[in-house]
Amino acid sequence: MTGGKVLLEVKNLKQYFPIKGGLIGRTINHVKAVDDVSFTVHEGETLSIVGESGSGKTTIGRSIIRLEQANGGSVIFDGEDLLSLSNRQMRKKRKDIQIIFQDPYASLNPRQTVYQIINEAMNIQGVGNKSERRQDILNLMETVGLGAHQIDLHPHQFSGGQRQRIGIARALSVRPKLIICDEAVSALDVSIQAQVLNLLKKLQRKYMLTYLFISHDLGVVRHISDRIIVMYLGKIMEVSGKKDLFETPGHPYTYALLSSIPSTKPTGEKKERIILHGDMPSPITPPSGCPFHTRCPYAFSACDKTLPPFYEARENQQVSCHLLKKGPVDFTELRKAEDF
Amino acid sequence: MEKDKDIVLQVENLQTSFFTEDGELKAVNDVSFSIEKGQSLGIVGESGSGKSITSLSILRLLTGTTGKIIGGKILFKGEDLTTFSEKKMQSIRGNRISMIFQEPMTSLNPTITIGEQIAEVIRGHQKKDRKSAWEDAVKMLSGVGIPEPEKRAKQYPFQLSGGMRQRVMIAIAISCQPELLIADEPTTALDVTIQAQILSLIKKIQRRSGGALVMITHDLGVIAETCDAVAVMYCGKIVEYASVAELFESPKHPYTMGLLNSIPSHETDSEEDLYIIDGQVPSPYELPNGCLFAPRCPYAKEICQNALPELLNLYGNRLVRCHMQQTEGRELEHDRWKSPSGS
Repeated sequence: MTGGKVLLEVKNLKQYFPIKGGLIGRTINHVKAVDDVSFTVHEGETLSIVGESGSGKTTIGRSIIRLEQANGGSVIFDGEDLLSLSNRQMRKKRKDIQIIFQDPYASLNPRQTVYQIINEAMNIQGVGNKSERRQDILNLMETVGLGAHQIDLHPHQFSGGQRQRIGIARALSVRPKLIICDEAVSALDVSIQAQVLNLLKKLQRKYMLTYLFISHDLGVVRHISDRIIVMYLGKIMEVSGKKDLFETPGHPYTYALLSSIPSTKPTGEKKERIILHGDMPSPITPPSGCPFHTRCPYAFSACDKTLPPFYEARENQQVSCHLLKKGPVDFTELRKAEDF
Repeated sequence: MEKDKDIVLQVENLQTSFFTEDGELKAVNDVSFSIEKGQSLGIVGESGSGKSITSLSILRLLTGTTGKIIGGKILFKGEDLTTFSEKKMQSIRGNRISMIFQEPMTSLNPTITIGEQIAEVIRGHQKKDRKSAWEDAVKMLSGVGIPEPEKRAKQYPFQLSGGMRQRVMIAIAISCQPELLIADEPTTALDVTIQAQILSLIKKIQRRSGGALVMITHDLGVIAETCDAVAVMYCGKIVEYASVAELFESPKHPYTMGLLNSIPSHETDSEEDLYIIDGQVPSPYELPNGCLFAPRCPYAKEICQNALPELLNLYGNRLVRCHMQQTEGRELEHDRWKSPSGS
């Protein structure tokens, strides 16, 4: 899947939020939500960004589509730098890049009907023929599993899963190339979550869509992704193909993250578990060197001094960790040997 | 019932309803379970299954809502809590039965230091002066793994992280050594690495105190990590009850099977679509006549549409509410779930 052409290239993206303080509201400091992040998304793939709260994963999505004004770097989409576009040009560009939000309650206008919600998006982007608009919308609704009789209902008359389907239909209506799914299934119950995940996969096959899938749920991510980015405190820790990430995680943070998810396997074959101590440090005063070193069980002298470069752990797996200087590390073996 | 003296809580045919403009909403509909000393019971279900209302009913925390316990008994150490006066309930809450809620920010008072909030609970239930209650509070904070407890006790909730706040909630809940601890989605608002810390803390505390634990959650992984037995709820009723190992190895109710199958696993690869449970939970005002799960069940037959199945004991406390298990007792073939349709 990664063989396709590059659709989106994010280079050295920086997104700092000012903290105002003092009597005259001067900027006294910054939250470095996204700090020098680079990656590429290929056509037709699903690239996921995972991380805990405060890791910057949501901000990346919002900066790409210019809901936040980035402080630096570039976002090359289809050969054009989105960050250098005027607002008007950017509005046009949003035809190609759509976003689905986490909270389907908050992202739909409660006063509009399904027809009006989808129609508005199509009008703004000038998609399709107005005389065929109602039929187009009915087709879209059918595609996402809503009934034709629901076209004139308001959001409050739908369940959470159905509202998310409306959000998906709205995103699809302008025939985008890239859809950013920001925690798109996190608010849903598991049985409904499964329905929406299957729908997203079906739509991807049908319309050759590219997804940037932002989530904290590693089960969901393993199900839907081709490649995965792991973030911590605004920085990328690891970029890896799905299989490698879950079977041979390259970064100690990834390893800890995977081992802290409760397993639904029956007792007996439970894996060994590492519990990370402490909390994620504040993004206002991130630690020096590697941002993870304050909680890393393997941290050594180099870790609080310099930010590690990306090492190639395996083909398709880049890891920012000093431990990998001499090649990939098997954490399960390492733990046995050093008896952590 | 020969082990009666070890039973901490026995809920019998509990019915809790909300009376709204649209009619009666049966949130908890004839629920029975019991829990022994040292045992941990999980109650799992999706939104609207009645799991949280069950816990609020046990602690009689429904006053001020339109909800009311309309039937059944809640026997705590043999005494029926539903007959207790509000005053008597207050002497039990936070003392002999404690609860940990999902949102630690809204359950802590933002204007009082956390040390005082713990000391307040201790002084409310035990004859202690301010000073020794404060000392106990600091001890509790260190017991739940908060570094520098003396300093932290003087801080306010906003100065703590989410995980720390949940530790404070736990410290408050266990400050009077309760015989029963109810945890309602205690880690849902937390990140996984913090969730792992909190779950391991709750398990450690339970092992140390030997009390009983009721864990209410929508997350089957949390159940697998912390519980001995588990009750699966759907639309206000228990549909399956089993030991944790048995539930995950061989679920008997089609709803449980569907639920387990629809969770994307981080432990296995799958290129296929997820199994799905078609449709959605029925409106609580228009519950089906027969089995509550029948409209979504791939195995449903005529009898399922017409009659509500009993909660049948298959063998030694392995309970299932399903006609298919009752009439034929057979293994349900898994492949009924293999055709994700509709989506």
